[in-house]
Amino acid sequence: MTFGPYLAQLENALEIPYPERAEVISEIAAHLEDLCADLMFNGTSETEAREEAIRAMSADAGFVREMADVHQTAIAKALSKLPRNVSLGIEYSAIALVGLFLVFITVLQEAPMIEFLASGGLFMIPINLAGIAIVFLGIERIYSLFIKKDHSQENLEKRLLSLGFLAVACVMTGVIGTLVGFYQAFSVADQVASKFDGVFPIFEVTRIAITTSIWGITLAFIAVVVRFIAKAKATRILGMRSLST
Amino acid sequence: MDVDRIKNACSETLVVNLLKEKPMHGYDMCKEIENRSSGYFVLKHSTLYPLLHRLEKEGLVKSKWSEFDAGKPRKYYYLTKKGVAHHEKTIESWRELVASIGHLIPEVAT
Repeated sequence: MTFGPYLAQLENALEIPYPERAEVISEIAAHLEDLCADLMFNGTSETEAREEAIRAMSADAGFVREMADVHQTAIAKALSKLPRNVSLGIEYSAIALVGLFLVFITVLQEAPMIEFLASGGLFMIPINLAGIAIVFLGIERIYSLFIKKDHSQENLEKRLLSLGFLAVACVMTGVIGTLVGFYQAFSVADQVASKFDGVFPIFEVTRIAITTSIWGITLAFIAVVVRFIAKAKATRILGMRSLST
Repeated sequence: MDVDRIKNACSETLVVNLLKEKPMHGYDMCKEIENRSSGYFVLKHSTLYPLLHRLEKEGLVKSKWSEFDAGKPRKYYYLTKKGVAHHEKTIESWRELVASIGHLIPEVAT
């Protein structure tokens, strides 16, 4: 019998951030080894000693709670005292407020930005919706992993797929928007040219048509960066998990 | 009277007092306290490790992973200057507390 399964179980139960969690597990592993060695020195067989050591440690139910009290961030500690639904409501409201604030200061206050967003036509609507989703998901990931420091396994890989999907969707929609823009301009090329002294305004048409691509790629880049940061954090923590057990 | 609560309240002083002598790791501290008190104080890991981690956060102790015993890495704790000063104050408080109880309840002092 090894301590691995017990330590893995304890690691999952501990609600404290990494690297502290990995360090606690290493420390408990050393404690178990010493206790086991002492029991064996007093004549207990290795199997029984290991079982006895785990029994002695498992009997202390308060350990997980006490450790959380020492290591949890102030935000996580305060939220853990509230009912689950209330704490989730507070978290999501705060994320939404920050997201709205960011969207407001970066987009709505800038008149040229509004013109830019309007110039891309209908294809800008899904791209902008995806952009808003990227902003909210990005804030949620940064808050959850770096401020609240919820390093539970289920939280580590949350939203990565969504961010990846949104990045691809932004690029694809942007490119399709550009192609449709060119198609529409070229299909009425004569009418367009007549407004510009008989010369088709290729640079003006290109400038308008690539708006969706530029915006789509910009938002996709933001999504990819957030995803990369969240994924790197998750990989680092998962590496610590395997090392500690 | 809940003796366990009183014992728990003593844990910090007992642990810091041990660390004043030499750096130690968690399991050693448990054994040492149990041996020196002839089994009266049994520090559970659920009390000891959160206590050590709290003391470390407060800057009273520091820790370091070392390989003293047969190459096995153990996390050793040692007292900082702040910890020493804090311990001296605590001992003074304990002295006053014990003396006051001795005055109030002479049977306890004997």
